[in-house]
Amino acid sequence: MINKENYLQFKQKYPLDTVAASLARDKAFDEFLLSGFPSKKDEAWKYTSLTYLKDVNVKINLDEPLLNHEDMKWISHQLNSDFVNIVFVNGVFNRTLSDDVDHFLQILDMTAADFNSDKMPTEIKMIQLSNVMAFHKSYIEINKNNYQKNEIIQITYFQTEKQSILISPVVKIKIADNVKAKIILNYVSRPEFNQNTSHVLNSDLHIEINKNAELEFLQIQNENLNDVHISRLKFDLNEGSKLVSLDLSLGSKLSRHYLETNFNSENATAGIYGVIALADKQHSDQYTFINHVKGHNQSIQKYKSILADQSNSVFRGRVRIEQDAQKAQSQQLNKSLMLSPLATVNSIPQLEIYADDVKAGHGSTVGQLNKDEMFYFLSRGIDQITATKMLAFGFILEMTSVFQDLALQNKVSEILNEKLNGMMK
Amino acid sequence: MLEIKNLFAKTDDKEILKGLSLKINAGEVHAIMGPNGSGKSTLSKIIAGHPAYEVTSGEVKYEINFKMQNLLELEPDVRAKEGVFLAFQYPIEVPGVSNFNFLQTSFNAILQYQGSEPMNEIDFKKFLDQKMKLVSMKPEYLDRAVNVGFSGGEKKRNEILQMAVLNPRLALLDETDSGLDIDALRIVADGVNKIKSKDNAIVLVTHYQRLLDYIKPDYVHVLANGKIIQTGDASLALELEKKGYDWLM
Repeated sequence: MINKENYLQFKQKYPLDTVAASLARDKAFDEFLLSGFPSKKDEAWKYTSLTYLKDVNVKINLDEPLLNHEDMKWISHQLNSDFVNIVFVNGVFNRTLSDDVDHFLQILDMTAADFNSDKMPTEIKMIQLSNVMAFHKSYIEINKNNYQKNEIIQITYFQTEKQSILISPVVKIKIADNVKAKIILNYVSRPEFNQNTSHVLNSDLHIEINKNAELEFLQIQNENLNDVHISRLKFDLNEGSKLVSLDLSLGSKLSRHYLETNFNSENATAGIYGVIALADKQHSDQYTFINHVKGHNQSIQKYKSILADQSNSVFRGRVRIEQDAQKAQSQQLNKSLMLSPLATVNSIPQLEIYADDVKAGHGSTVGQLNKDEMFYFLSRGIDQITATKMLAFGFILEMTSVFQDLALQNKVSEILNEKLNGMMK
Repeated sequence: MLEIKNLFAKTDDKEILKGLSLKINAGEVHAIMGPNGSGKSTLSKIIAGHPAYEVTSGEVKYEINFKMQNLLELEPDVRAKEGVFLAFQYPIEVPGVSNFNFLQTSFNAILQYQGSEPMNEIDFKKFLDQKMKLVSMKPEYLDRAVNVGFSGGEKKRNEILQMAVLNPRLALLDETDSGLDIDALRIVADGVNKIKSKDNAIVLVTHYQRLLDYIKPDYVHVLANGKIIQTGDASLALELEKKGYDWLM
């Protein structure tokens, strides 16, 4: 349960260096408690309420995790030696399981500045809690001196705890000028836990892409179906930078992705892509915020959902083009493929345009499998389930080639195939 | 191999087949001709199991394991696995699925149904290579999405390629000749002739006698108003070409 008493215990265990930071943290926690978990009364959470988390039995992890043999085996099995692995277990950086990453990564204490004491916008309310409950802040800097060309950095958040816990990783990544980086971020939990274990992950990741730098970023959200995933992914784009981001929302019973992209300077481009593939009673809520602060920038957003059973997906695509952001270009498209009459989708484009010389468009479609295509497959001896998988994969095929990097392309295909196979039995 | 008795069928509450009977044996080539709207395409779709058509009475029996069995009870994919093949009049475009993947999945589904091991990609490529030569198709068509951006003739050739790969016992070619120029027609017909054997039967649904110059039918049937009203040999098609259908009605 998230209450004052639990917080005080946590605070005792994880004191902060300075009085200012400590006070700021107290204040942030009090504010969070006062305003409470987001509910459907908040416009930004209209389709996803988290109020039930208030009472959910969640242990706030007071100890750094001890890993047993099984955990270690499972984790090492997941790591890919082709990548530079950075491992977090239950929200804590794990030096033993990570590759040698000291040249990239620093573990820092939280500072007063991390606890935003001004009133947080409701859409990122949960960030207040993740920063309060974070054990530390991981800072990763990728620059010309420490990064080899074409290297893929894979950050994985493993969840091994057998009890329900709240996990709050806070990470900041800086991509230095002129660097072309590739990063994968995985969220996974031990699959064999029983239904009573529900990890609540509340993650905050901020990536700054500096002058003329490029980033290919793949996020794979694939936790257990008992888990809850709440994350903020914030990109800051500087002059001439280029971002391609693909967010795969596949796991958890409930997930909420807040993805913010700020164009803080000119001549930057961002391709923001997403695939949501859900079955059973999974619920996924995507809130994207593309913020054209400055002009002469280009953003493309494309989100595709495949929804089976009684699953449910929400896409809110907010685009803001400030008065200063002349010549901004922004495209948004959200397409959903419904595999079941009981699945639901809500798609909300939200354009806020204050400049007059811009190009901005949005579109949204919802459809089912094409009956003629299905009959064509059946008439060739391909059974309905296999045909559905193939057609559904065809629907999202374009997402397997958003990255230039082949290893990333393969990873995307592999993960999506695996999910679609599991979804349709 | 196939026996249809007094078949009535409808789509969208419109009765299309009105007491159709037809018997087809292995090794035979049948041509079904007839005026527009007579039910020719409906017949082939019903045999393949198209969900838009409902059989209201009559029966369709098909030989499986030396026994005549009710074909209408089988799901469309099972019919295909049992050797029924429909070459579509308008082959479907499937964006996002490569022709190679489609062919291999289809081929292996049928292999596995028959109790064999699926064929791996390398072996299947070799196997496919020969089959593609039958219909003069270039390998680059394998990497493209199924029928997407194919010309009319290429789509029809792709249907015959599928037929060559799946090696059906009963092949129904629904107006495979329509929209083909002479060269493409010859390629398609040559392909069909090479697949033809004493163990399979071919049903050609067509408007034109032209196709029958290339693929010689054993029987020609005239389908009008939902029934077969006349059956003859190849000479019937020539007669229809000259006189039209009116004299039979």
